[in-house]
Amino acid sequence: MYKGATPRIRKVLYALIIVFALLGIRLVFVQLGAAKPLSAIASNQYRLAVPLLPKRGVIYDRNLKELAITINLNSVFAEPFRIKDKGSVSQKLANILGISRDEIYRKLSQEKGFVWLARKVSPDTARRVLALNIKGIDFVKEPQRAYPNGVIASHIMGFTDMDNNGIEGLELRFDKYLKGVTGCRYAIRDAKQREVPSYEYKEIQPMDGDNMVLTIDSVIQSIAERELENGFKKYNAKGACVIVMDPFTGDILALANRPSYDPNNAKASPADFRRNRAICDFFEPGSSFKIVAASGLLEEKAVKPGDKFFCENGEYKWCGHTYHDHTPRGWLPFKDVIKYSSNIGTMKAAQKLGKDRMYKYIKKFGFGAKTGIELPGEVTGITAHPVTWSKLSLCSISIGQEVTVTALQLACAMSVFANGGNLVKPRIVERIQDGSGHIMQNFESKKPRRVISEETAQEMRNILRGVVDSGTAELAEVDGYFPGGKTGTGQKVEPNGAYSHSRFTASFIGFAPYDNPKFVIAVIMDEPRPFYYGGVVCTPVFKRVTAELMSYYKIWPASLHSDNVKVSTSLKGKREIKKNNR
Amino acid sequence: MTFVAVMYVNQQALIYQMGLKVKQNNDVYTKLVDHNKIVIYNVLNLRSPVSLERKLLAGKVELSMPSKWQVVKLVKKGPIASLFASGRQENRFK
Repeated sequence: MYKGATPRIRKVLYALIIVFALLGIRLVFVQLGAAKPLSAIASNQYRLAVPLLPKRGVIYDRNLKELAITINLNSVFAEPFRIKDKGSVSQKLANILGISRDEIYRKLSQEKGFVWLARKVSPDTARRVLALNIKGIDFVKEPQRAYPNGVIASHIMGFTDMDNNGIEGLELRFDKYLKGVTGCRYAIRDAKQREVPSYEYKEIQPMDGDNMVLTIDSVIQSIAERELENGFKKYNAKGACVIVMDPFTGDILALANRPSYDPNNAKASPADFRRNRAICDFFEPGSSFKIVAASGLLEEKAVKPGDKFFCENGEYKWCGHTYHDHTPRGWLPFKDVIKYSSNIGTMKAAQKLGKDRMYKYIKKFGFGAKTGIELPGEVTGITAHPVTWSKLSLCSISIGQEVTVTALQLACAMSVFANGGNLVKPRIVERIQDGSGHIMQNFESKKPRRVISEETAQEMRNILRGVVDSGTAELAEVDGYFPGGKTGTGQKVEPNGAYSHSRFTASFIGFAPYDNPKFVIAVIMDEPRPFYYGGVVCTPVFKRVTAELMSYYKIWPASLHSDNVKVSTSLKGKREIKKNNR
Repeated sequence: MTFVAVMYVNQQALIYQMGLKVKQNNDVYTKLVDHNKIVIYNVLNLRSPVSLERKLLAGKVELSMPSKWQVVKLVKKGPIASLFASGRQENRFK
C-alpha cells in the first residue's frame, strides 16, 4: 500500500482485496469441492440422449408373404403454453382428429409443457394437421404394428400395445425376439433444447427385432376363414374354429376362430373375441372321441371290423343309466358302429378294451396334455385317471363324455390315422431369422411318436372313409378326393351339472385325399342353432375347404388322373382301382 | 494467434453447417423410407387374399375347378420338332 493513498482509497482497496479473496475461496471451492455435482448438473443441461428405436421383426407366412410389418406414423402433441387461441385451435383440430372439441380444449388448458392429442394418426390426417400450421402443435414419429391382411390369422399373430409390446398370440410369445433392443445417441443440445447436429459424441446402434416365418399359408388361411365365417353365420353359432394341418409334419397351415377381430384395431373388439378357441377352449367332444376307443380296440385286436354288436334298437340301460342312439339300430358290424356313430355299439365294444387300456390310448393320442404348439394359453383338457372313474365312466368316455379336449388335440389325433399311426407335434413357427436371413432358431418337426401300427391306421382310415361315404358325414363328401373323418355332437353341461338338451358342441375332424392324405381339417362349432349335429353344421365347412385346398395344391380329382383308371369306393370303404379295359 | 482463432471459429461453423445438412438429408431419407413403408403396406393390403376376394365378388367373377375338357397341357419339344409343331397344344387327357 503506497503512502500517499487517502484513507478512503485504502478502504476501497481493502474491500476489493476481501471481495477477491472471497471470490478466490469460492473459486477453489467450486473447482475442487463442488466440481463433480456441478459438472453433472451442467452435463444434464447440455447433453441429450436420443433413444434409437429398433424395428420390430416382420412375421411372414410359409411363402414369405408379410403378415405383420411395422410402419412409422405421426403422433400429434401440443405445447399448451405456446397456444394463444385455444378455443379456435380446439375446433380446427376436432374436425380433423375426430376427437370432441371439449376434449381437446381440456387438454390444451392443462398447465403442462407437453400433452398428447392423438397417437399414431394416418398419414392423411397428419398432412391435414400440418397444413393448419399452428404454433405449439407438432408431431413425433412412432412405430406402429400393421397387419395388411386384417382379420386373417389375427388369433395366431395377436397384436401389440401402444408401445409395441406384444399383447397376445405370437406377438406376445415371441416378444423378446421380435422387439429388438433400443439403441441410443448421445448428443449436445442448445438453449432451445434442440439437438446440435455436429456435436454427437456417442451412438449405440439399436438391434432390430428378428423376423419370424410361420407354417401358415395365407391363402389356405383366408379360405378357412371365409368358409368358417359362412358356417358360423349360417348356423348362428356362439363360437367356431377350424384347423388345417399337415398330418406328416404337424405344420399348421391354417387356424381360424370366430368371432374374430381386426388386430389393426384390437381395442374395438371385446376380449372374448380375441380368445384363440382352438387351443384355449376345451369341450366334451362327443362322438369324435370314438376314434380313440375304436383304434385301441383294433390295435389290441380286441375286436375285428366285422365283429357284430347289438345296438339295442336305440335304447340301452347300463348301471341304472339309460343311453340312447340318435337312430335306433339292431345288429351292426363294428366298422358300421363307428360309421353310424352308435353310442350303444361303441360302449359295448369299449367293455372289451377295459379301463386301463382305454386310458392308455387316451394318453397315447395326446389327450390331457399340451400339444406343445408355440402359441400362448394352450390348455390340456381334462382326462381323469381310471382310479377315479365310476362304473359309468368307461362307457361315457368311449363316446366322448367325461373327457374334455381342445380342437388342436382332435386334429393331432386324426393325424395319427392320416400319417400311418404316428402322433406328430404341431408347430406354427418354422424359424426365426435375423434381417439378413441368418437362421437364429429353427423349429424343426419333432420325431413323431408311434401310437398305433400302420395296419390299424389303415383299418381306421377305411372305417373313417365309410363315415363320409355312407355314414353320418355324407355332407363332407368331395367328389374325386374321397375324404374320411368322424362327426361329433357333444352335449354341454348345464349349471346344475346335467347334460343340456339345447346346447351342443358340434365337430367334424377329417382328412383328404383318402389314399394319400395331405391335410387334416378340424371344424368345431359351439352352440350352433337351429341344427346342431356335427354331420350337418361342420361337414359343409370341411367340404368347401377341402375342395378349395385341392385346387390350390393342384391335386386333381381321381377322375382326372387318367381315363384308364377308375377310382371308386366299395361298401367296405376301401378304395379300389380298377383297370378300365374299354 | 488471431488468425488461428478465426480459423478455428470458421472450422467450427463449417462443421456445424455440414452437420445440419447431414441431418436435413437424413430427415428426408427417413421421410422417404417411412413413406415407402406405408406404400408397401397399402400394396400388401391390396394384394391380400381378403381384398382380392372382395373385388372378385364385387365383380361377380366366380372361379371354379376346370372340367376335364378345359384342361390342356403345353408339351415342350426339341428345337427341330418345335419348328414343325409350333403353336400346337396337346390335350393331356385325350
